[in-house]
Amino acid sequence: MNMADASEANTEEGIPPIRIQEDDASENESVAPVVYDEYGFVAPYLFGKEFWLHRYRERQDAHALKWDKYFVHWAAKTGWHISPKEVPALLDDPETRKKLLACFPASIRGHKRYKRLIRGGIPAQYRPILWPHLAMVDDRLDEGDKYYVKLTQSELDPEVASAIELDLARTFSNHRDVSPESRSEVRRVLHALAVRHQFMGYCQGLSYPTAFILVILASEEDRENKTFWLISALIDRMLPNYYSSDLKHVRIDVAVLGQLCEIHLPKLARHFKKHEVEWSLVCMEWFMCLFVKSLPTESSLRVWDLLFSEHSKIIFRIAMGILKVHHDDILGAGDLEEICALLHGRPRQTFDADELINVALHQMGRLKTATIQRLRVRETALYN
Amino acid sequence: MSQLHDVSSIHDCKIVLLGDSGVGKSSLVLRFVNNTFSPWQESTIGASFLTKTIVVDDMAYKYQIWDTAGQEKYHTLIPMYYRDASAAIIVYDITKPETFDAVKAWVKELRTMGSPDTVVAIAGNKCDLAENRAVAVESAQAYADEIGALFIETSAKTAENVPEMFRRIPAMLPASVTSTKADDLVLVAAATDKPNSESGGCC
Repeated sequence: MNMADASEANTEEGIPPIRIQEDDASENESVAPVVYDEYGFVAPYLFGKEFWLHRYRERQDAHALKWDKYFVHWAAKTGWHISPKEVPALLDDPETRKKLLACFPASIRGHKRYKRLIRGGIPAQYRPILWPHLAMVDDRLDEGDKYYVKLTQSELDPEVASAIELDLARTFSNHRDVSPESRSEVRRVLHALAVRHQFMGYCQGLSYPTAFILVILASEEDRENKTFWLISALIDRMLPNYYSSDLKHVRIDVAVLGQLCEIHLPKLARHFKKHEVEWSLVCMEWFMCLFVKSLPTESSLRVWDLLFSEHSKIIFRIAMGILKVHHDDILGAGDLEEICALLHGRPRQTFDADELINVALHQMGRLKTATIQRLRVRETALYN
Repeated sequence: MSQLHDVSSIHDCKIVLLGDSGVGKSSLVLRFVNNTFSPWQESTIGASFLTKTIVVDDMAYKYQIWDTAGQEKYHTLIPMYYRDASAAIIVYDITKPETFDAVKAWVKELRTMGSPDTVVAIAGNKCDLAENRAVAVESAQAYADEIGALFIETSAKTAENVPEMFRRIPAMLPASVTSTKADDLVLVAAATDKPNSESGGCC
């Protein structure tokens, strides 16, 4: 991992470099230059927002220090005395990383302070370590990639293989570093996932989260195996059976979101009803791609921090959060076409991750897991 | 240059695009609506909705176009989009025979589950790849004739026949006319102000 690079970019000039690359502007396309974020994804157009971005980075840097202190706190409990400044290097080394993570108590995932830290954002350089930890796949990763490699070499139903092939070239095709090799990585992970999750095979949409994690873990040598296990954890334990053969469970959750919006965003729900906006049109892509196709990278990353720590409940909160952030604009849209255009375009402009997370977690009122479960049961009974 | 057409009303026309994954449904819609093309058009997750108002034979039509996901798994979502459609454009890829088989399955489903008033157009897309053709024009045309559908080969990439296909839909619609909105007249004027280049491509 390039820890040094990452911290340098944040401290030197204050404002991180934004790469700008002129694209061939054909007559039919807008002449705006393509801007990539630090992960190589096409970024929302943020000119004039440099200062805001600078402040966001400052907040994240300050927040990262809290993480270091948190590691120090648990290390001290085991009699290991380190300083916060040592933490990044300790986490970079696989041996000391393991020792440091072992200082966490088994009950850590239920700790309020831990949850709060995650909600504030996992520092970029710690995501490759903490995502697998939160997803409880560390043991699997310790075993090496034998199992993963075996799956990638297993035979796959030709229909499934060709469905995967069809999506490879068109998944994040405008990413800065897209290459035949990067596509092969996505292909292999999707192949392994399809072999392991026979009930699912390949489901359109899944290529996006897969490609997304591979990019985020770009500097990790075992990124394919890690991505495979992270997505498997989502499929196995954190989400309902979204990618099953008839999409039943995602459709149920789509209906549940509709119900929740009637409670938490009643004006918007009425507006959608009036203009005959189907809920699947609103959020199918959000749910299937776990927001990575719809939100800017930084916002997606913050959502994924929560996804690994708080699981499927967060999907509803974020979906409502997006709708609430753009609430007034959507209410101002006078017909189905305008609403659809906003629902398509606005999430991509939701670059203020702090605002999105704050609205989703603190401005929607209480959202109990029991309520979601009750609504799921109800919608399951209504389903076909 | 403004061409004001003498139109007394705008007819709403709901069109749904059906067909296998990767045959170019979204690309056809985007070529028609925005006159753009991207070789790596993102896959449609669920469905998307776009509109375009056009004038055919001095009649204005507001096309409400529903573009659907092609993968089999998404099939259960699709009936709500073709339910009350005026027209269904079923798309296949002329280089992939199995996508033409899927056209037949869609026709069957529309006949049994859809509205009898929904007219069908069959689009053999990617005609710019004629050297890899796997579905003969004659067999597609014969099938279309048999079921009383419009058949046309298109290329979203070169734009060949894309506007033509959409412009030929009104002639197929039943005489009974859809809803009328006088206040949409302004839109027609605006839409015809900047005519899309409709010169067919090559091949």
